[in-house]
Amino acid sequence: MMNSSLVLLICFVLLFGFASAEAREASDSSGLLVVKAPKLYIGDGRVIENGAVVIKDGKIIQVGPLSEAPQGAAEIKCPSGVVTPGLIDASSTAGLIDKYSWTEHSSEVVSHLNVLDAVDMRSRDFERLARQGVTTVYVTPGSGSVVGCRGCVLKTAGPAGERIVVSRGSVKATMGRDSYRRGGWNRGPRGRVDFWTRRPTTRMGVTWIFREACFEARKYRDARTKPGAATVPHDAALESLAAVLDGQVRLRVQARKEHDIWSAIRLCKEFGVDLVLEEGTEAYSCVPELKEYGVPVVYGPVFAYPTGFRAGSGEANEPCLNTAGILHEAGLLFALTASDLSGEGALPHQAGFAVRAGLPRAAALRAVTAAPAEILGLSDRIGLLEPGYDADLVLWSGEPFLPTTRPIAVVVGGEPVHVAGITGAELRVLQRAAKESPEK
Amino acid sequence: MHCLKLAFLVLTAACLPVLSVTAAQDDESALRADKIALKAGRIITVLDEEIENGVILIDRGKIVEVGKDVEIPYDYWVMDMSDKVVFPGMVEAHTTRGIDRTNESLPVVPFLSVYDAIDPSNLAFEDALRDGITTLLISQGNNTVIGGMSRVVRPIGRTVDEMTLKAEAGLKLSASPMYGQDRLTQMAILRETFRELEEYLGDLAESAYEKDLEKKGETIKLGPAAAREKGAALISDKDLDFRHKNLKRLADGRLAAYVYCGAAMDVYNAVAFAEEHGFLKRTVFVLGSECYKAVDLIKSTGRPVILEPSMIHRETDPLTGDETEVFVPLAFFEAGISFAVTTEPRDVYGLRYPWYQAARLMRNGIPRETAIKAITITPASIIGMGTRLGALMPGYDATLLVLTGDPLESGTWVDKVMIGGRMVYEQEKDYRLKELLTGQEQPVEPAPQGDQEEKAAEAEAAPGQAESASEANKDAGKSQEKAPPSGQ
Amino acid sequence: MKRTIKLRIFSFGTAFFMLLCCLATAESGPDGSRKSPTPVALKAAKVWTGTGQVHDDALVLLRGRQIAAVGKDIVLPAGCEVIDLGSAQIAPGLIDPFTALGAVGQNIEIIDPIHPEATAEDVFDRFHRDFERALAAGITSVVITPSLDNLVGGTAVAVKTAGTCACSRCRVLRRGGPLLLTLSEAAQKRNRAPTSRIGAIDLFKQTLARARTPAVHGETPSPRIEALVRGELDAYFYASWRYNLDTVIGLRKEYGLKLTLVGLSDAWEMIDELAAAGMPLILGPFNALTAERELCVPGRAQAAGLEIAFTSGAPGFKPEGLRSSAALAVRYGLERDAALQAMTLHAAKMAGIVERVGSLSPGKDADMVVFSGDPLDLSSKVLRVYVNGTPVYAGACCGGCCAESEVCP
Repeated sequence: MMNSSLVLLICFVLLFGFASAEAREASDSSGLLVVKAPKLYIGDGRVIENGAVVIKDGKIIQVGPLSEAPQGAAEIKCPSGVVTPGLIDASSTAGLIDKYSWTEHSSEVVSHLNVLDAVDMRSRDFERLARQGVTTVYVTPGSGSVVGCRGCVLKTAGPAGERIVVSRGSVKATMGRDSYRRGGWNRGPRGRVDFWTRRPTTRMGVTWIFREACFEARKYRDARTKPGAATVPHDAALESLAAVLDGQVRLRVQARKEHDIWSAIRLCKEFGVDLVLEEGTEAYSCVPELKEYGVPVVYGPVFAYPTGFRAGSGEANEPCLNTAGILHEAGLLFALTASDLSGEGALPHQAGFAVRAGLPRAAALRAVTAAPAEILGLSDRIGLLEPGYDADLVLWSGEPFLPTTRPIAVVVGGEPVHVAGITGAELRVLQRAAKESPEK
Repeated sequence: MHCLKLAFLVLTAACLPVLSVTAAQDDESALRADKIALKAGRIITVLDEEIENGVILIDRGKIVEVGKDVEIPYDYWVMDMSDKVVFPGMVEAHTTRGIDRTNESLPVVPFLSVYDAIDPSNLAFEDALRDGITTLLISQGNNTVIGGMSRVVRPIGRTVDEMTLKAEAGLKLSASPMYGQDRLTQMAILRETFRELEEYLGDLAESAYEKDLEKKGETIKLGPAAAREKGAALISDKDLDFRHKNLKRLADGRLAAYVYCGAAMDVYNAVAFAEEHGFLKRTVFVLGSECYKAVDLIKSTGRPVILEPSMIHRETDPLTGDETEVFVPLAFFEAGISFAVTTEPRDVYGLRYPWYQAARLMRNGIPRETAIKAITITPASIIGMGTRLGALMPGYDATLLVLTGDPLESGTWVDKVMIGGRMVYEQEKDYRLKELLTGQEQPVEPAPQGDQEEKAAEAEAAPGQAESASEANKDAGKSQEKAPPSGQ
Repeated sequence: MKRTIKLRIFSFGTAFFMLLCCLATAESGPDGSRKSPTPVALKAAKVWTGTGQVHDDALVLLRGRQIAAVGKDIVLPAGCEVIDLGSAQIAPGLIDPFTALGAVGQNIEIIDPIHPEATAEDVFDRFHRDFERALAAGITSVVITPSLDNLVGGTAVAVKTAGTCACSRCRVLRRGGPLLLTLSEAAQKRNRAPTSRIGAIDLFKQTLARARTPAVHGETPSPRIEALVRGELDAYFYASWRYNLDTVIGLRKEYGLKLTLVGLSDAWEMIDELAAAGMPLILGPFNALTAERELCVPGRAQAAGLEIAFTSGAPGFKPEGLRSSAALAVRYGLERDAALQAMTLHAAKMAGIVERVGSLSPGKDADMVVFSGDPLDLSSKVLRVYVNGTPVYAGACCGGCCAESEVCP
């Protein structure tokens, strides 16, 4: 592995170093980056042996056997390894400034706000994720509000102007205890009735708030489309919710326990709204309902004993290790996520643990590439190694989700953002060289 | 003639039922037999070459022979595991599993022992079997100055005595300050403890000498210093009080010392202190992540180390904000220091598995051989069981795992666990695991009669004990209906 | 009838009399004695004008409250009194553009996060003892701002640290501006909106958007916010940390606001973006504990073409911090001229008081500091401070402990 990194590095340095010289020759392979590996996993189940991915201007323009790759272009190659599409984490907490900024507590319904405003784009979290092979994340809003703010989709690295893929994504709602269990925030000082004393304090209150908000949104929408609409004061939160009711904006509902999942489906049925289920700790016992209503699931992490913010919730005491396998067998669309885990290789290892518990390997790859892309509504842009897709890919030292495998190189938006074995400063030199090379 | 034939027939007839019963009971008996021949698709011996399609002969809990072409004697029960991989039971060299509170608030408590705190019914031991950990050194936590006695146990048995492999495995010390204390005070207490020990021993020696002279009817003619010297030969362990006994053993080098160092500077203090007080040669360093910086000093002592589970040291440059990550075991590997890898049972999923930790070693460039040793023979040697556990060689205990695949692959599960020649875990009968995997309640089978100690760890009849790791895990009795959602 | 007339005459007469007094006392010194508008010229070894020009062995000619001329060879009018300051150096009075000095009590109302109509003038205590300390540090003008607990805190007030008349005309330099905007954790409260950055940014955007588009049914926009959005009212934007700075740059771009940035921790990471945005920066206070990468910011910002000023952090920090911040910045790469301008001319620009103070130019108020040496050299003492042409502070050393070359009033 160390040797191959050296080979890789030498390839890089040589080819980028001489790029300017090659520029004057005006060859027709200028501005191209070619990634070569013994195996390419396209992401939809197809495997290409001894293949090459050709990248230009941040997009994939060709995927095929080595023999068809253009000659003389800059290249990244590994003598033994696998290339996969860049991984997508569909429910991440990357880059959040702090937990206080994550949730706006001044109202229960804040669907007009954006979690992007709580994200520090320069956070080191993104670098770490990129090093692990995760190239796109959906940053999920906090669960402290019943109807929370809107998520966003970000690239973890790559050209600065292209990092925000979706700035106002789906609206997040939360069923369960999260919106009322965090004691101090919901109680006024000295128990007085004031700004902080408010509903809900029970699950009944939570579902009531949700229904009330949807009713109000429906009324608001209807009022604004009738004559006299100008007299209706503008309400940004209801506006967002109205868009959800109209199906223009997606809805994501966090629910862990079985009855919370049922509540979510029931409520959405009432208003004719599609939803995506997040967390879904007990989704394994709701398969018929999820299937009937066609609910995609963003599930993760795999655990037997909960940690992090899950641990204190009191809702994570009946997990099933093979939830992913069960969802797969039922034919449901689902994505795997590492959520708030920050250990070494979190998302790829989550996929590995899902496989261990019974998920087929190909389905595991799909669950971190094409499936989250579909759930996020970006399936024509990310998640596959196909011409026309964003040049986000990972070169692994071996089979992707094994604990002994590591990413050798990570490319985001056509820009190499991580190469194993070199320092940050050396990488910046490479990136600059890549920009100055004839890719203009 | 007739009589002989008849006798022969009768004898054969009499034998038949026995034979058929025996045949039918093949597997059952194999589990209880004294002599077992294990046929395995692959045997990883650790200390020797791997063996394809080999055989392990086990007699009364010990491995007699391991090899490819081994002749199986007639009286051995054959267990066919030709589609499986046999691996030594993994060893956890330093853990606080199984005890709830890991430290007393008093700083110096060498008279305590984890014997009194281990809970054999703790879920941690059930998990240990499930995950393939067959030997654990249970010790006090790191929040102490001089802690109590550690113990090497197996995760089976109804009582701590049944679990014990080695009763007095070493004292716990810490060079890193206790909570609420600083290093100044920590080292001062350590020094004072040993100074007080010297004083106590001196007084004891002096009075022993005086008593001896009294017995002989002689009068004292020597000064106190000389008297102490003469008296020292007259005292033995049984004369010491509980406060000093273990300390004396430690100072004499008769007891292992597990010294926790949280920061690199603690290593310097620990080495100097251990050397001065005579137990450096029995010291095992239990290290925090920053201690990789003291690798040269540790190398010069020649002593082994035990690494904490995260194995990563992160530092942020205060000037530039750049983050550096160091994979700690690499520094020890490159220095040629013997290191054992430990697990974090409270981790969500990953760091709790020794095989995952070993795989991480490989991921970061350490060769497979070293990685495998770091979870088997190396920790076994460190805890003083290196001739019995951690490898599959003749003379070693028959404490092994039957795995569904290569130990370092994430798809591999522990199929069976054998401890001391007895099968103590079978995944097929692991109802809790089945429930975790399928999400469905499993019918609970009553525990079989007899030999409770063998089946104790996998019995589902006992209500699940709350794992101290997860306060949200309130599964009181899976056999009951699903618990209502936790209230306010 | 008679009584009403008498009343009218009485009140009119009183008013006239007070007006006379005002005019008369306008020229009083601090001891109440009348001073005639005799031209005075100060001669010093060096005169720093604050515009970048430095004159050696030069004169500053005062006429009344203002500066008449500055230079080496200026024509002195007849009867002009020349005060020879020897080896001392004259600089414009230093200006601290962002402070709470002289504010008494709570200088903000935190119930409503958007509170543009408030003004810090209401908490300005002209008798506050901190002003003496400011003078001792060579600071002649300060901008008192509301504190940072609201998103829109109200307007600041620019005042002189000494008054030479009983009325406020010469003490208050500017009222009604700049407006204070804040995007930091200080403005996020537990017991009122916003409780998070998400809410803060949304409130900002809503406020600015509503001010720009015509009033929607029932809403009365604030005139000050409207002026802000039209680019007529300048504002200070306090923002710390890189993510807040990114947001401010975005808001400015979208709404075309006239902003001066304050706060600016993490600025070292974002010099390029700040340079591209082109907003002036108020930096500091710097002291021995400040990280090197922050101390480099003034130098790098100035090299990138940005205007900078310093704040002393008073009254939390000592007013002397203004000069030490500048001196530390010079030590870490800021040019000396730029450092002095930062404390004088640029600070005045950012405060919006540059017509009256900030440099020694003809027509501006005669606010000057006499240093015993180079103003950026921390070993130089403040010997004397002039406000409105009147010496209002004499250095503490005078009374026998100074060298002969130093001057006492």
